[in-house]
Amino acid sequence: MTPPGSITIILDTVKKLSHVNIGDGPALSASGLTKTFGKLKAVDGLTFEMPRGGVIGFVGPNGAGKSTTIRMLLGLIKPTGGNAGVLGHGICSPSAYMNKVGALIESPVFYPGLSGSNNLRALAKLGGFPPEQVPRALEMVGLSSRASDKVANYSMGMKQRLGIAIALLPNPELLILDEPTNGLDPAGIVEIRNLLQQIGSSGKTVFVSTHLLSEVEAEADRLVMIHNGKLVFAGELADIMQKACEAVYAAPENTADLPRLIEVVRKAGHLLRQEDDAIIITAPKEWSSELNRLAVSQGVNLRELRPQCESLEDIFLSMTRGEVAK
Amino acid sequence: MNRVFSSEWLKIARPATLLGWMGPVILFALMGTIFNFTDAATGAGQFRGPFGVAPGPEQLAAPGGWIIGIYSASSFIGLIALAIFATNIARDYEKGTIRILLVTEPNRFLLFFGKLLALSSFVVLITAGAAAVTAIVSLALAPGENIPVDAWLSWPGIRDLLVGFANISLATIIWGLIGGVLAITTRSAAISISAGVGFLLIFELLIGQFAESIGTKLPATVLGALASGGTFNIEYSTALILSLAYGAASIIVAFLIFIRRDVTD
Repeated sequence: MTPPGSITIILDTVKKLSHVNIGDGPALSASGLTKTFGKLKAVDGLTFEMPRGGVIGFVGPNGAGKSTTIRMLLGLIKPTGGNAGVLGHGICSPSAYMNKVGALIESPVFYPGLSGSNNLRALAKLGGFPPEQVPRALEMVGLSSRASDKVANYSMGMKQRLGIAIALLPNPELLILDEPTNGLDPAGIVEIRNLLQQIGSSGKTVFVSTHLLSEVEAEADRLVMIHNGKLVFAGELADIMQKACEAVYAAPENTADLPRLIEVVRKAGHLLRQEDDAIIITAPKEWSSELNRLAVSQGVNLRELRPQCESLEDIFLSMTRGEVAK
Repeated sequence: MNRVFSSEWLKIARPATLLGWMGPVILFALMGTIFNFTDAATGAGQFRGPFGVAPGPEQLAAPGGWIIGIYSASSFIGLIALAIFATNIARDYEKGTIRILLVTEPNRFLLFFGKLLALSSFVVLITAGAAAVTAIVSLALAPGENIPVDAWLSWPGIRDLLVGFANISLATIIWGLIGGVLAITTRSAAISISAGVGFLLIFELLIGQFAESIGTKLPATVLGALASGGTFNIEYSTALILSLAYGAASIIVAFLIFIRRDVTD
């Protein structure tokens, strides 16, 4: 008789080896996912796994491979190599999971001769979604009052909202949005951000791609960062932001004391970089008091001493500096 | 398949779309019918270009005489069907709506055949409208040209009307399928329509002039013969078999391209 422990091991192994038809798998996963167009490697061996729930930011500069990755996850294009999974199903069979996925791909497109609600009705019929989902989705994005207007008369922001309403139609477990705040005014951006956070906190998963790192910093719980088609980081946003605060900013009262301050820090074995008449030291913020003591002992009074947190943008740039230089 | 069909019909069944496509079809059927009656006395047997050979009074008085008008306009109606399929399918690529369709219904088999079914039913509907107009106008014009209508209103007349409608509907659908394969291949409404019209009306005519044996097997000629229930050059059974072969080939090529090609735009 096979002991229960062995069954668990076998099941775990099967889960690791294949993403096919495992309904309780991660929200998204990729293993060596690659897509080439001719000589161009748009996505290069992407490997990550994101559990379900919350908002996942998918970031990278324009041309990093975000849209190509999203299209592969949605079954619109076939990978050249590797594999990926959505809600525990392999991307080779999108029919198995797409009824639980809502998506907005790049700039939203519609049938301009139809009203907003008829665009949604046509897609609700196509997807077999209940008709009552149409007014619900329109209400969620604040378009109820303009639902009967032709889409041709919608502003860019309204079209963007309608695109998000389409993504919400299936009442999805996973929402995949490519640049959802494009064309929205600041108030609209905040509104959509709140909506996404609300959806993410309800147990559903929101995978939102953007090149605006400040946006992700404001709304995401987890992060997948890519550059030139390659993975730069995948994990909790809090982890990367914690690392971002592992720096101390110090400025001497007298600028002439700057070389002596640099000498003190170097002797203490910390890396630093100069910024105008101050230095930024790679060290935990708790080291600030030690630095103050060392500086005073060397006759250097400090004008300013504080923990230095880098923005996500700075972190991204520092993580991809090598690539950028190439 | 039902879901795809009803979703497509929600987009098609707009007054602008229905009237926009039905209008020219009815106009061509009307022209074909009027020309047939005005040419019957003096121009019978004359070749009138795309409107075909003018029928004589005996042909018009035969049981199927009240639907000959739509046969005469079958090439025009076929080209409109080609444009309907090409426009509908190619615009999904041009505008990018193919993305939301595939995200909502990722089963490409269902999407492809559901769409073809909806478009086919649409061209059959507008063909039915054109057939009805042809029959009514024929009934109105016949007394003025001294054409007896007794045979039309008999059972053989009604049977010929229904058989004629079935033939022209099938021919129109196959014209549409040719438009569909061109649209899926080129992903451009303008290119697919101009390629279709250019080949079927001009290139095919030229081939027919130089090699008649080949010309009688080419799509526009064969579909014209199918719509008319057979011609002097092509028997009905030959026209039916070749037409079905063109239809099947169009479906197979279009489907293979549709399921295999990445949607990158």
